[in-house]
Amino acid sequence: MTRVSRLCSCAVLLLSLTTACSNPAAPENQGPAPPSVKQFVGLLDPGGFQFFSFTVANIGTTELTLQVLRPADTPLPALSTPLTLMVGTPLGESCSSPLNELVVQPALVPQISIPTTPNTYCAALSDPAGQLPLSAYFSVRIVHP
Amino acid sequence: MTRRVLAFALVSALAASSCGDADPTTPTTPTEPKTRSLASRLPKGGAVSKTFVTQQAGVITVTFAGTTPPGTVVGVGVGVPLVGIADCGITQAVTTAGSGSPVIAISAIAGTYCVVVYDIGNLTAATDFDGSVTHP
Repeated sequence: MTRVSRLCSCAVLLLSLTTACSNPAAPENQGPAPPSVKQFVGLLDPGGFQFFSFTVANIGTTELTLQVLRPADTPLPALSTPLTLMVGTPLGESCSSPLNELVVQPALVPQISIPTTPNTYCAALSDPAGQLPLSAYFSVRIVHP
Repeated sequence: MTRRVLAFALVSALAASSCGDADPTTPTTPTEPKTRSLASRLPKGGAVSKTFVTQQAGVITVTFAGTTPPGTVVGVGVGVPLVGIADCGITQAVTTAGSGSPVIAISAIAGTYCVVVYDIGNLTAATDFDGSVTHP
């Protein structure tokens, strides 16, 4: 092998080493976007209904958790009144067409978990049976793609 | 010639070993539960909260040992750090004088949570208390 051909072999080897680990598709393949986390908070009156709209940008799973239910204007720290938590689609100035609906009490694990595609959705919390003894602050955690 | 073959083999081996991901088959090892003391002084009419982070899903357990002097019933709650008692929005709460046994056990996903001890109107002065929270 001549000196020139040895140099060429080394050059090819070095070139292959520098390109072997590259990933030309990397900029286009960043993986799924991190989920968006929102807090749907408000004051729910006995027999009341509150809703919150949000926009899902990607295909994935949307999760809802009623985390906090706290009576307004009293020193009581927490309520465990069963309430109806729903995820649906907004219609006019309301939230209808339920995709999933569940009677829930405050918890720290997701209570509604549904597959969603890019669209506008709404989460609603209501006290249809009027079981709340008084108005209550609530917080629903929404995690969506 | 032999030296060149060996050098080539060495470089090839290095190239082959340097491109792999960092052991993608390594399973996620569950972490041991962590226990934190809640010992503090509760002001009359007040509340004391502590925030903690769980790295994975599991059960949060709160144990309340009691007040000093013993016997005073107080509120103990677990929730999320939002507007609430001592900035802790309570998900589940109990009233207890303490026994050393768990008073709250609640499942939770990985996240940031808080535990709060609060006066429900029984304290006549600031009172020391002891307890602990165990979480994933």
